[in-house]
Amino acid sequence: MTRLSVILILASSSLTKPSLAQDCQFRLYGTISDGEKQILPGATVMIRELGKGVVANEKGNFEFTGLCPGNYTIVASFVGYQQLEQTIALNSSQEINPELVEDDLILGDVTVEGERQKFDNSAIASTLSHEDLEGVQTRTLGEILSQVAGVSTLQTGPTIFKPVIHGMHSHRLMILNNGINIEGQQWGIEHAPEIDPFIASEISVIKGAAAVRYGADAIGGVVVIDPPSIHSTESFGGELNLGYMTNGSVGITSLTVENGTESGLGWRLQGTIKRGGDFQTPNYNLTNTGVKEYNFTGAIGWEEENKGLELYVSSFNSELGILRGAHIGNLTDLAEAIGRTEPFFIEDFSYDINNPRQQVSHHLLKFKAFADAGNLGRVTAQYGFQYNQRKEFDVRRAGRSGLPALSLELITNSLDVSLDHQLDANMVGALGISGSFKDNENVPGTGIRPIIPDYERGTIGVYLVEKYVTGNWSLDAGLRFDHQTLNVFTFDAQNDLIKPGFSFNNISASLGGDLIVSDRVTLSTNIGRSVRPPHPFELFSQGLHTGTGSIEEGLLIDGGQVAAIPSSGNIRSEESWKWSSTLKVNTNKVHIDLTTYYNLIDNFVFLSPKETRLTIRGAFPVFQYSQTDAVFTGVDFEFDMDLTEKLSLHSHSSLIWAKDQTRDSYLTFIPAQTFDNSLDYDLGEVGKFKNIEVSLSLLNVLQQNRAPRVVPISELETSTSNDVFDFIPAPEGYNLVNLDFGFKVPAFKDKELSFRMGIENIFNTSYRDYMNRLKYYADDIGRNFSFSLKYDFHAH
Amino acid sequence: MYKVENSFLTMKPLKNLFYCLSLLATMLLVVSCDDDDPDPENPEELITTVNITLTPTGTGGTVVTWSFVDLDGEGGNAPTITAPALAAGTTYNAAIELLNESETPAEDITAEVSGEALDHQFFFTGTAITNQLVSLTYDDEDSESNPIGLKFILTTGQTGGTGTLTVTLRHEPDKNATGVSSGDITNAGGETDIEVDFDVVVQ
Repeated sequence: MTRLSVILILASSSLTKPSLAQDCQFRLYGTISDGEKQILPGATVMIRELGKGVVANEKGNFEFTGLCPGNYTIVASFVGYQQLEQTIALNSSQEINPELVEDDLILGDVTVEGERQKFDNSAIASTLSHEDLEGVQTRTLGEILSQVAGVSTLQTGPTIFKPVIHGMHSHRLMILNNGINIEGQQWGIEHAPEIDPFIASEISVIKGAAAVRYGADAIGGVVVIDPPSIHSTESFGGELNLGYMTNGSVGITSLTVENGTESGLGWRLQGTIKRGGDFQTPNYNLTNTGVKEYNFTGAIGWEEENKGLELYVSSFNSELGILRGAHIGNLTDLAEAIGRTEPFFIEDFSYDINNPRQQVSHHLLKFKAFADAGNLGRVTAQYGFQYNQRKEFDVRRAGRSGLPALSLELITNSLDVSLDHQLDANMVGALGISGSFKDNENVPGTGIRPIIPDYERGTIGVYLVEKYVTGNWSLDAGLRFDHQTLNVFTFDAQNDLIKPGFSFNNISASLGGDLIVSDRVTLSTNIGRSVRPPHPFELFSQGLHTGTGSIEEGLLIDGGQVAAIPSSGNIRSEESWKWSSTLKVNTNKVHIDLTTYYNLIDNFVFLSPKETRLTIRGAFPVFQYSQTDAVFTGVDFEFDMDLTEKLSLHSHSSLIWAKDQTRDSYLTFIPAQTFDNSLDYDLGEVGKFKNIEVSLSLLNVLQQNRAPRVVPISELETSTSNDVFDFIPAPEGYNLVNLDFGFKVPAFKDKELSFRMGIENIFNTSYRDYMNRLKYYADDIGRNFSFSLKYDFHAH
Repeated sequence: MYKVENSFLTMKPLKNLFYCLSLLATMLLVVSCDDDDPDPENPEELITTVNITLTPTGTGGTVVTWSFVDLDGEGGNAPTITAPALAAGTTYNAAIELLNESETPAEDITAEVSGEALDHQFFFTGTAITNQLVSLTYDDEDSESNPIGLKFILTTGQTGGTGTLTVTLRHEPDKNATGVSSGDITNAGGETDIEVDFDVVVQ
């Protein structure tokens, strides 16, 4: 085992400090068909040893995730066909395409074609496949994720989208880029995740209890962005993507090239350039909403059957304009903006990005090694270094507009080591340790007191997850211990530096199980407890938040200055209990996926109105972070049905109800009930053209009738209640009709071109969305034509 | 499948693993102690003080100075507002002075505003004007002949009374929008740098 030690030491010493772990992570997937390539929707595929079965969807595709290395017997069956059995040795993700033969014929063979790696999925999860991502990767990550039932977005204008899972967002969600938790300034609700969607070959959303595996930052869920495996090809190949959107005149180019050899060595380079100008509502331009983005990823890796190494770098750089008319100085300005039908500052279309604007970059270096340690299982070590830089520029006086009003640097080192093991035929699990160290600094020289303080945060966590599988059911349990130290550097009323320090110890746990009720019905349920200590900004933020025209103060700020620092034991952490269950039904024609959840969060941290304070810029409302007991409950419903051979119906609904139980009032920024229905017509093949599809969809968003009460700005000073409020009522509900059309065509002998065209908001409807922070100022965007072209030059 | 009787803890790989884990854990705890403590940020743009000096025209009369002072900026302690009474039936030459007194010596923000005259304009509203307790006219202009409002002429009515005068400084207003150059704030836009209320007493 010297070799293992060498690899681990290499992983740690050559690169400095630490992040994530993978356990039983393999995926077995494919398409089930008869010998003549006729797909067989509704066929069942079982793994005998695990007693786990799935039903192929309407395209004949099936998938198992979270598999441990080992030997498995795959049993594929379908009415009228002979059952097919095949033993496979699984040591990486594999595609198998079982071909069933009709009862009176001879048995076929399961073929193993290629391999791909994938992250572990928990019980309550949804995945967007490579196919689902096609044509939509020109959008932001948040927009792409909102295709998943239960996921919505929190928006700041047309370019800044944050994913919201079951009502949770920002620092309560974890976003993994190739296994590394993206560490950015996620506390800000106008701070979008630093991810280029073109890096993904697959995106999964873990909605259930995930904190045991990923730690406190995953209290609300996890978004897993998986790039393709670096040796997915064994010859030179790649993809060129071109996209254009009329609204905002956004142009995007993304290129991937990769190569691999049979010796297990592979590499990939990928880059994206995006440029957009002012977006348009049906009636006016949204001046200064342009975007500039250039991103790069590179990966090199080597993998054998029982060991492997991977080096991955990614660099994300963006510049985003914020709607000029949304820049306000005080509440009078906000009241004026609310009162207008069109925002101030409407100018002709331009690609110029002026203040207010954001400049954000995120760089990641990741090193990963794994090796099989005999009977112990597989050991994986992963180190990540991240450098995040955020500059926000404001409209300022006396030539200071070139100085950032907020300038932050965040450096994160993380290390994860995990051991994926199979104790016996029925018991699989993972043991892991992960640690990280974050250093957040305000870059001096902004000329503005920072809203969040400098801090250093170290975490170390140890976890164990085990799954017992037998017959048609399984049971899993997990336990995690986390230790966190936090040192904050802030200033007291006399402007003297103070350095409060805290340490937190928390235990997270989960318990769940799956039941295969029949070959068409599976049921999963999971209950999880997770704990999240307050973030430094929730404790110490202090200052004017210009975008919202309010003063925000942390839990430990009193009367405009840092209060007496309590001991760590007197700081209450958020404590979440989440119970979620999923029922899946798959028949030949119908696919149903119904998820329900009930999430209680004690000591939930939120901004609560405190008082109004007079300043030289007028009176401002003061919002202070405070804690309450909140409950989030909801239903995600996906329903797909084949109406005829070519016509199918797809329906996604996301319903959520949230409440502040202590005060018996509603919470802000809870997504409204959403229904997304589409009719898909599959023309199949016409001449050279393949996969010709037309889809007509209707997005229906109801008015949020559980929004906080309304206190108009004019009545603010006389309002006495400290219940949460909003300045305007929730906007009315809206309906958007969209059309999508796409096909594939062969090109240059063995290559392939895919084309997609979409029209969003066909009727150019004017609307405002409750979850868009710019709803106070302007309408949402109007009709948009989008075009995308993908040239896949992998050998086919 | 795997045999469990090969007692886990006596196995060599496991010892190696524990060795590695402890090494990694140690590394995590050895935190990068680059103890460069931050210095407090100097809020350069802060306006702490608005002084309005009202000098009666002609001979005699008392010079009156109004002030709004909030030394610790937004949040913190409440501001101090003083507005001594004006004499009825009097015309005053008024000059606004803006200071950042959180710095020593105090920074003169008035110069910044007059230096960017095209991008700034003061507006005067409130019951003191609607009730005709006082009337105001601009007494300065930028290079495009639009008002700034750092200097203005204030005339008090013949009868005494009380009212509120709100002084607003807008940054990047649209000075060419309807009514803006004559002092109507309705279509001005831009963002508010200053909005202070004075309780005006005319006697």
